[in-house]
Amino acid sequence: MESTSNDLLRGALDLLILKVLSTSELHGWDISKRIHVVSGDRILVKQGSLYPALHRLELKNFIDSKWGVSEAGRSAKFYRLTKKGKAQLEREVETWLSFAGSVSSILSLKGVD
Amino acid sequence: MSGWLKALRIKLRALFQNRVVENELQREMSFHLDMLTEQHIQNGMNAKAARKAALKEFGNLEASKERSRDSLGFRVVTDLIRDIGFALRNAQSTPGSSFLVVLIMAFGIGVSMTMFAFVKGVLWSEMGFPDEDRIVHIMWDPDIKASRTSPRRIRIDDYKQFEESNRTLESIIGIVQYAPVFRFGSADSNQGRIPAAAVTPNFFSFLSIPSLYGRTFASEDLEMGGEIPVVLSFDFWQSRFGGDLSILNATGTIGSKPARIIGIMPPKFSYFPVGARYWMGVDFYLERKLELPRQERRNLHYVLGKAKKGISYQQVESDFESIAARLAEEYPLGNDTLRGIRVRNHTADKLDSSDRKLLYTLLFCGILVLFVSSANVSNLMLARAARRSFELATRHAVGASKVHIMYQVVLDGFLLTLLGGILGLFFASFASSYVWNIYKLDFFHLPFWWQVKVDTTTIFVALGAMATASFLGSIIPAIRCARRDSFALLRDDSRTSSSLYMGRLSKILVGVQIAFALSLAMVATAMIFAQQAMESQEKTYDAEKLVVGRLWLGGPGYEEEGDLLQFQRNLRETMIEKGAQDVCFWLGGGIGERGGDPQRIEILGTLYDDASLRPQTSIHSVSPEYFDVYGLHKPLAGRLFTHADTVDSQPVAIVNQAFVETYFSQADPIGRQVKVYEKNGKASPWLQIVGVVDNYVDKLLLGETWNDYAMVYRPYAQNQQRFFTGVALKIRENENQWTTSLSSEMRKLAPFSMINVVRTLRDEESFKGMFDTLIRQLFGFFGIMSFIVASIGLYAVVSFSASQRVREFGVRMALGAHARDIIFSVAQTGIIQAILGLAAGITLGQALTLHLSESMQLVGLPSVWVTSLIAVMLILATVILSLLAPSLKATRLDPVKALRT
Repeated sequence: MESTSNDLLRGALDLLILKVLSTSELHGWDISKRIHVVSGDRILVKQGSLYPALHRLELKNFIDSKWGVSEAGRSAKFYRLTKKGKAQLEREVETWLSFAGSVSSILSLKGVD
Repeated sequence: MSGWLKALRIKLRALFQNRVVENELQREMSFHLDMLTEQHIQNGMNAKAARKAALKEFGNLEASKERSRDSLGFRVVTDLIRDIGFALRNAQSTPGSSFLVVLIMAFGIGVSMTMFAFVKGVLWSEMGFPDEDRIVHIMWDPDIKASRTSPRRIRIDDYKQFEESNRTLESIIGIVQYAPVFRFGSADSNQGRIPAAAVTPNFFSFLSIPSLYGRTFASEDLEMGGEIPVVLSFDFWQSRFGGDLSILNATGTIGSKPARIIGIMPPKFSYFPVGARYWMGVDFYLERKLELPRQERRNLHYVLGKAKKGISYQQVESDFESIAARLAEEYPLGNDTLRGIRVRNHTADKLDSSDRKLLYTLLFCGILVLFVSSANVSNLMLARAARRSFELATRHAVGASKVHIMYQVVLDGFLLTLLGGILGLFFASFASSYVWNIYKLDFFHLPFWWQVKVDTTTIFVALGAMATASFLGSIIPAIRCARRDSFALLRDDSRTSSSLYMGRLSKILVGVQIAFALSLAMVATAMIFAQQAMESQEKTYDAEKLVVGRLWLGGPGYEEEGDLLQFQRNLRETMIEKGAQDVCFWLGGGIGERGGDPQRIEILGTLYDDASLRPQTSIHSVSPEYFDVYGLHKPLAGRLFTHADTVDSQPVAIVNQAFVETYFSQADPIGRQVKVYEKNGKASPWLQIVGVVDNYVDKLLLGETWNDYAMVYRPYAQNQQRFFTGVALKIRENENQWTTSLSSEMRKLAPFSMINVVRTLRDEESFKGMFDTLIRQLFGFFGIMSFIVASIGLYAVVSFSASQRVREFGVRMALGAHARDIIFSVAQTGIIQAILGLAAGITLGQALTLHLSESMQLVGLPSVWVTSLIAVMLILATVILSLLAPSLKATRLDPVKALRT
């Protein structure tokens, strides 16, 4: 699954992060775990991609960050969605769904065989 | 926080709090790694294996951090540092041209900023009064009230009317400037005539300037018969009383009246109005009622008003015009011409318009110098880029974007420009304080608001100039580099002559450079000629051996007109007894002052359609010794004045050679008659011309200003007036004691007279010509310097372009070309642009020289052909020199070696 996800993820990582953060404030580890679990262990976001993506989204003002204490009692950096991020999420979800719909209609074409 | 603001904050944090951000990045990644390890331990691994697995799963920690750094904006900083390092190495590898760019820029910024600091300090310094822009200067219109001796003076009664009937001013003040005898303390040094200002008591509150010590005037100070309240300027307090605070409340006398010092002003406020060392609070109106003797009655020299908020100058002017019209109607006697009144922003008083123009021209020349430098830098940058064409092409070929290549070239130029600019600012700071110190020493009545120095504004303007210069200097080469495709550049490099360089653009830049350098060289040449002419002016007298002074005779013993002559006789006898060669007196403009005090004349037998068409000329009423003292003792025709020319004898006149040439062509003037019309319209009787004397300056130097030197002399005895009388003492050796001796003898003979500065004529002449001399020297110096820099630039540019073609020359020589052909072929490059540049330069230079010669009344200027010829020869010499070296090198080159270069 991982090899497939890598290619697909390149376009969808930002969307996944925004979606996961729309439910609650999370730190990097939680974000990657949640994506993994919710995707039914099919999508694993590598740390090497996760953190640059988080910093890029923060720079675009889609998410915000602050230092807090994790459940394990350690200090961790928590991210949350901003208003601008919420609007961006809505747009991206729409784009993605329409794209997925188009792809699935093409895939549902009856073959010549 | 808006998006871009947040991004900026994050980037700035990455830039300035680099360590904190780096640390946070490390903590965040470590947390993730620890959580991963924890998970593996929970899944049954031992700690060591769990850590190993986590590290493996996490991947390359440093690469991950690096990508995060990229998104956080770290890259900008590291890239910049790397690029600066690269640009510096690049500068190091071409020390010659780097040094030239820095030198040229240092000079360009240095010169232009010195000019800017000077012009700004003199022209644009704020006086620092609150609401300065609402202060207006009210005066009679000099065109309409020309019949008055001093149209700007306003009578106390008129002032009272202004104060009471105006509807547009918030407040109004009146000022009289004079120099009464100031006696405070017992020491002799505390006495003497000091320039001062008598002001209305609201003077300081009008200007909103509080005192430093003590207080300013209050209305109760002015009860008549009481003491005159006095406020000292800081400088005067320091120099006269050594900063002694016990002088506050001290009593003394001013003139003959008791006075008390009540306050001292802060150092920044002095010499306002120009020249005043202390201020006296006076109620002019009350004083008027006392019917003081004639010589103590006063007219106001300045009337300043503060317009009400929202009222324009025009509104104030029309308000005052209606007041003037009403005054003319109600008091027709002597007020019939009282119609025109002029109101203007008082800042216009700061400098007269010709000096203003001169300063603007100076600034314009400063900007020209900056342009010459920029054009130079631009060409040198093109040359540097041409040298780097292989490197730039390779970078482009391996993927560097065009923008990045442009950025590299601009950065290269910017760093060198910045370095040059900083050096230039140091130069400007040094030069402006040097110029200012000379100026301050010789010009003791400097307005307090003039402040020549490199201040924050100058630094900001310099930064702007640097940015502009570096932009102009680098952007064109950068665009040219980026537009060339890499193959073309690589091909260029294989030819060793770059198409980047000495293309049309480069030639145009050389043309522009030639034009500017030429025009500045012309101005400099003209200034040197003018300075030379001023210094070598041959005069009939020796200014070192003449001591001159002026006095306004008055007080007890000098009430009658005939007393003036008695005073002159007494003073002359005393001074001759003391060893002076001779003493003379005159009325009217001082010697050497062109046009001194022009008045209209009429020559008997010449008809003038209208009184205004009568010619104007200088009139001097002189004592018989005058001609001897000034070295005109041999009349060219007729006779000189004698003591027999008295008020009862026939009215006579003597004219000078310039007058004869102007009004009589070559005809004999002896026996002809002239009449002089004074300013108040009163005419003299017909004066018979009895003699002709020489001009006291060299005729050849007079040039177009010939008419200004035409003069009519009258015997003092036949035209006695109580204005400032000039006194000149002819001495054998120039010794300081004579100036003090003359003023103390004058004081002894006439203790109540006003005596102005007594000094040698040399000092007086250099003092009067100070501003012009300084401007001439500034123009001359900066003109020459900018010409030198332009020449260095031109040399660098031309010789570089020739040296780039050495290999081509080698081949041509091998194929049989002659050395002459090579030189000719190099010289042909850009010849059209150079000729156009020369033509434009001559035109601009001539326009500038003409403008300057008009506003500075320069004499002894050579014709345009001489100045332009000198300038063109200099430019051509530079170009030929710069061509010669590489061409000779090429002609001596072994063709085989040349091909290997």
